[in-house]
Amino acid sequence: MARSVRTDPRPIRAARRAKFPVVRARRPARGRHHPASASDVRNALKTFGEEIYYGLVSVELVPAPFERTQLPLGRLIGPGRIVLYDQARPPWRLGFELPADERERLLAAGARSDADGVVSWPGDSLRRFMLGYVLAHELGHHVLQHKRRLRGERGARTNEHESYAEAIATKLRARID
Amino acid sequence: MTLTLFPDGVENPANLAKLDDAARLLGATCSQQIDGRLIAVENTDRAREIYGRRPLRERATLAVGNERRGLSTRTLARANEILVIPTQSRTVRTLNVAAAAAVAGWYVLRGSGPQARARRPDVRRPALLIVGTDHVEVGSTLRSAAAFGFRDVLLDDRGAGWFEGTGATRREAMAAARRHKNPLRVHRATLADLERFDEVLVALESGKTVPLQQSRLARGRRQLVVVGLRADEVHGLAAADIQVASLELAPVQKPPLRLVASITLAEIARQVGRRRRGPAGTQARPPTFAAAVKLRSPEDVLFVDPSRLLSY
Repeated sequence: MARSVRTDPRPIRAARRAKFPVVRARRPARGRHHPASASDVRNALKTFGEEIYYGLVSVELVPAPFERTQLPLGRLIGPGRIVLYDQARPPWRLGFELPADERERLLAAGARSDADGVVSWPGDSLRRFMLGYVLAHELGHHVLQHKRRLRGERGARTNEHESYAEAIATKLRARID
Repeated sequence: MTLTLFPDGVENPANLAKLDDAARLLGATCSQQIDGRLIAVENTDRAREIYGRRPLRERATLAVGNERRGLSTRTLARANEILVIPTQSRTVRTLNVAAAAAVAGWYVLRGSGPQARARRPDVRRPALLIVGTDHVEVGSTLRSAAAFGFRDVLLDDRGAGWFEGTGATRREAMAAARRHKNPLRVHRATLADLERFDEVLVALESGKTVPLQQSRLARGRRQLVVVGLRADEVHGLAAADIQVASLELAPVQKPPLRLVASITLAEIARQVGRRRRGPAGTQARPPTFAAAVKLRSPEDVLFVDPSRLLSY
């Protein structure tokens, strides 16, 4: 295939074509809040760089849907569309202990958790968690999908997709720490 | 009931000759006179599909147009009915004019059920083996196969020169196949490859066998449909399950492959069907990737009523 502007490496294409995504916030549900505001998200995206947000259309802060078995944090809902969900104000009183792996993940992000299922977020650790873990992770999914020019199908098997997203999230966390 | 084929401005003498062949196969005549009801075959907005019609019960003339320009506006204005042959390709949207006349004439004369609707038509599409000896006939047949939605085709090249012909032969074959916009993948094959399939259906132009419309042609990749095979070759075939179906055309010496194959392909396309549309506005669901804190399953949690705590 002949080389063209479409076959340029992604960083070069991103520098030429990336548009900054729309970031907007909807009012959180009563008693809840958006730990990272829209301007926090914008700043984080600028820090991550255009190669990461290339192809991203929007990041929306929206009220979380009710789910019995998990606390939703964020989601890549379609090509280039990420939503971050509002959260209860800390401390989170879950009423029971978290599974060990989830507890370790939150502890690594700066949370404190006791045996009664109370998860507290000292300082701005919850904001950093939403940006460095949740947003960065969803951006990892977006990059993989966008890199493979996919819109309606998966770029990789779910486990590999998650691993790839987490690898990118780890790199991005280092940029905002 | 008589059918007349009316070539309206067809320029290529080879196409006119094949139109004569199509008329003989259909038991019709080829003429410049319009006799009875005028049925135009053209891809226009107000055209009806050739599928889902009743058999012809009156005298009619079937008009097909110029290779590039299609039917003249005068003929279209005079037409009592306009029919379109539905194609399923984004790039190859038309058939060779003689092939189009054969397909339209076959469905107009016999009538058929409507085209099926399926959630995943590609899963229902059988494999196709073309047996060809003439390069232009093979090329035209490959064009029809692409137009009717095939992506892969097996070709038993018996001197047609598709794979190893001279430059001139290959150029003519490629032109007939509209190769510059035809994405069909053509694989070399022989009759020995029939053993790879569970079911084999051989489509013949005539003969006392099951009519093609009564044969099941939507059994997916385990089924192979063979076109271009002579009737005397069928008995020597070695395969698990061989069925023979007839297009019930008039018996002629050496019927052109493109005509027989195009009718067979049109019938496969009718039975395989088109994608069933969902409700308006629905789109393919994109993959979603969620980040969440997984909680313990509800079975692991003991919910206690406050009144029981008070009594405790």
